[in-house]
Amino acid sequence: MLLNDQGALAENQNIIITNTDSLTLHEDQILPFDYWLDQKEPIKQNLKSISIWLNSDDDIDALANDLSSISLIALNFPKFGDGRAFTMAHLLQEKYGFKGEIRAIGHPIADQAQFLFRCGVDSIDIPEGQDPNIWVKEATRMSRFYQRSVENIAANSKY
Amino acid sequence: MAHVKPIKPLKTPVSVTANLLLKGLTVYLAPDGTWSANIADAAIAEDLAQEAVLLALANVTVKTQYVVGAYSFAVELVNGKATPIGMREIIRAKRLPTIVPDGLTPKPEWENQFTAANADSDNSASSDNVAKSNESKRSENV
Amino acid sequence: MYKENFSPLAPASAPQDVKMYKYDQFDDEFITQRIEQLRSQISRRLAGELTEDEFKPLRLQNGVYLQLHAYMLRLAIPYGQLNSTQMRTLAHIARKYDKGFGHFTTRQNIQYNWPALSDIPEILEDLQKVEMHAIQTSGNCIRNTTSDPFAGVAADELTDPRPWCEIIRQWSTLHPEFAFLPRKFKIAVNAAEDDRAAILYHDVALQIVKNDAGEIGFKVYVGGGQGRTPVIAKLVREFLEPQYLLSYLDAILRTYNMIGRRDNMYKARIKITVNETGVKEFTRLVELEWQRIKDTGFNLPDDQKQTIFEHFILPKFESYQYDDAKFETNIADNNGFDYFVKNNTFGHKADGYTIVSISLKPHGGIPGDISADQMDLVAQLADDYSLSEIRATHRQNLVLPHVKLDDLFTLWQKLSKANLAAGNIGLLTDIIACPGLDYCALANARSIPIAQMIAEHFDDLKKLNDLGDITLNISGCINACAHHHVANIGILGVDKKGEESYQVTLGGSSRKDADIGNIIGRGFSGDEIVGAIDTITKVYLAGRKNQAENFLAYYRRAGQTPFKEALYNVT
Repeated sequence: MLLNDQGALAENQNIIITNTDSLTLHEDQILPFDYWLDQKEPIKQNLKSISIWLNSDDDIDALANDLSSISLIALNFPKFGDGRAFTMAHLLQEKYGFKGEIRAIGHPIADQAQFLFRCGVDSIDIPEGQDPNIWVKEATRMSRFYQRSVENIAANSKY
Repeated sequence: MAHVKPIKPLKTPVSVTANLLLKGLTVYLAPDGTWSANIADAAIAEDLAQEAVLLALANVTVKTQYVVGAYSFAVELVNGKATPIGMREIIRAKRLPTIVPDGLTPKPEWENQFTAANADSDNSASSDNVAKSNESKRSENV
Repeated sequence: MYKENFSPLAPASAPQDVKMYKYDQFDDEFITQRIEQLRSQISRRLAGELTEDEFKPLRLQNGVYLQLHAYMLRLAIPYGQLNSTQMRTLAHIARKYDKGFGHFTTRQNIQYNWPALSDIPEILEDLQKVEMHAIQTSGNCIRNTTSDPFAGVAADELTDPRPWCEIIRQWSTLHPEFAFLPRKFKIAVNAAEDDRAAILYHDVALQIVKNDAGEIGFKVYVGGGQGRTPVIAKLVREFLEPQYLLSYLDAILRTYNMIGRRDNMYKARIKITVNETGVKEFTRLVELEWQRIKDTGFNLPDDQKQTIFEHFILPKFESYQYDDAKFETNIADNNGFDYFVKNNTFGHKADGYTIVSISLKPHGGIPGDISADQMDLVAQLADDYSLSEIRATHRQNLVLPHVKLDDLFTLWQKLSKANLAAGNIGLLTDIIACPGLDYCALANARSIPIAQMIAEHFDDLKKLNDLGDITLNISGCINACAHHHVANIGILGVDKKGEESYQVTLGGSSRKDADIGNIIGRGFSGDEIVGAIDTITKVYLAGRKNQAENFLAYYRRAGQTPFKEALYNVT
């Protein structure tokens, strides 16, 4: 189940690929970052819409030149306390002007949903076994922020 | 064949303690799976197998959100009752600091030797997810 | 110990309008939502929808720890400033939800030792009414910003650092990008000549300076800290134009969030990042990011900055002719008052006023502890004698920042009745001590009983004054909450084969001449430690050139040898 930044739920159509042995490419796959680096050209030739996922210790700068050909970047939370995805989302949006979808995957917790959206994440892949209703509620928990959102929009923020 | 570790006997007997999730107060696991504020009520394990049983029993109420952070700790037996050995557990068992401020105005529930009734004391729970042993005593990062 | 039976004072004056940051509707609504969020998180925890592992960082970010005996709640006192109404609320919380006392910490905060988890939302609602909260007093996020407890009125300061602290407080509050950092993050701001906030032991230290053109700016240091690896913060920028404060902090935090270590909790603080990366390279990374965002990122616009600054316009101080002769007579007639004036007062910007420190280290007391009745008394004395304003210090004391010299004697008398007049500020018994093994789940040894034994041994104010300026800090474990590394005499409690043992360090300083103490030798048992401290003071007294050579100066000149010889009979 996916949660978007408006607090709405949607079915997840994507598959996160972890094992790329004898992989047949499909548009609904989210490909590992290393695999992408390795197979850039064949992937570009085979897929119209490219989705890749990054671990929290992957270098997003290495994506800089290819961002226009990528439609979805998923940022993995190996554990919820690893907060690098917040900065990675911020940089993708603000530094690189990434136009595609940014998604949080792995093990975020509902209480991080709003922080993620404020940093530029568009959708969250709700971890297996969690009640999506809690996520919906937390997605709009606060309506007062001391900081502007990553787009530098002042709506709901104090300054 | 897989290597089977020999079962080590415990260095000292152990009891199991936790804190009440709602109030935070120190409690001890009694033999019937209930929790008591009084360490004298604590169940005592003399070997690893008994310790595992106690931790599994404790885990039942960890899972029902009654207690938090259950672990076993070293005790000695005085008149058949568990008595803590280390300073940390001695202080916890007193349920007060060693230097008690004069101005302290206790509330009854802090001092009562209550025995808490558990929602569920079924001890048939599996021993997976067993609460941590005293090897990794609970602590908060400052 | 606490004196509970002093008679209540008839209110001589009502709370005054203290010049401090006041919440607007936004701030109030923000707090309401935040409390509602915690209430819901607690319900989810109780319903089993959050595991303890998931709940822990959430409660920690609201100041809730689970300690040895119970939960502990740490409240934020932004940069240590309080008004009397807030202090009365702190007393109310101590009575209603706790055991009648609270503990002021080295972070200028206060913590309570016994609240129930279920009471915490209600406590936070009581706090909200007086514009206080517990947000980010723990957790791997940006903590309460600390500063000089004399800020705004200290005779030795360049400008008032508090508005900058408030700007940082707001910027850092629930900062979405920096709520799950590798480790906790502490920022301190100082604008005084002296350093009364130990800023060089913070993750970011901002010293307000003037450049050659006479403009105010920040000298920026990064990577200070204590814990198991004490490090003095390193200079990363000589002069930061103040309009860039927030974008520069964003750049530091962003760099740290990405490259700070997450594989080992003990190597996750920014001090390790800076050490392992090298200060030059770390600075380069920060500057690179900052140059990119300094003009496009967020910096507080001038008009909004101005709005914050207006909260801190100093109160009107009365111009009057104070009675110098009477003051001198009171000093001559009262030994205790003499020491109180000497040690517990500090120069105020306004003529006829003084800054008064209230020692929370009474003879035999528990450092930093204060009873609810004492809190109420301090609130009343603030109303009567300090324009309703109070400060908390990183040395676990309180301050009445605006006391008229003419009122000082009466104030001292009233403090005396409540056991709050100890004239020992800056002396050996002005001990910083953490709660230690008496309360803390992390501790390995007790701190409080050691502090008490030392205070009892050195109970002669005359001798203490002869010993002069000296800091003694006691931590109950290597996490160093009581700043033992940076004390002239530091005591670290360790667990040695199941017994409490106390290691002594000498030569630390948390002021401008920041230095980290060195271990003098093998540790001492709880029974031996007072004797060891006594020996150390005797070595100093015997060896100093004169009284003007304070303990630290002597140690720096003489080194460890005379202490080692005396403590361990080494020749």
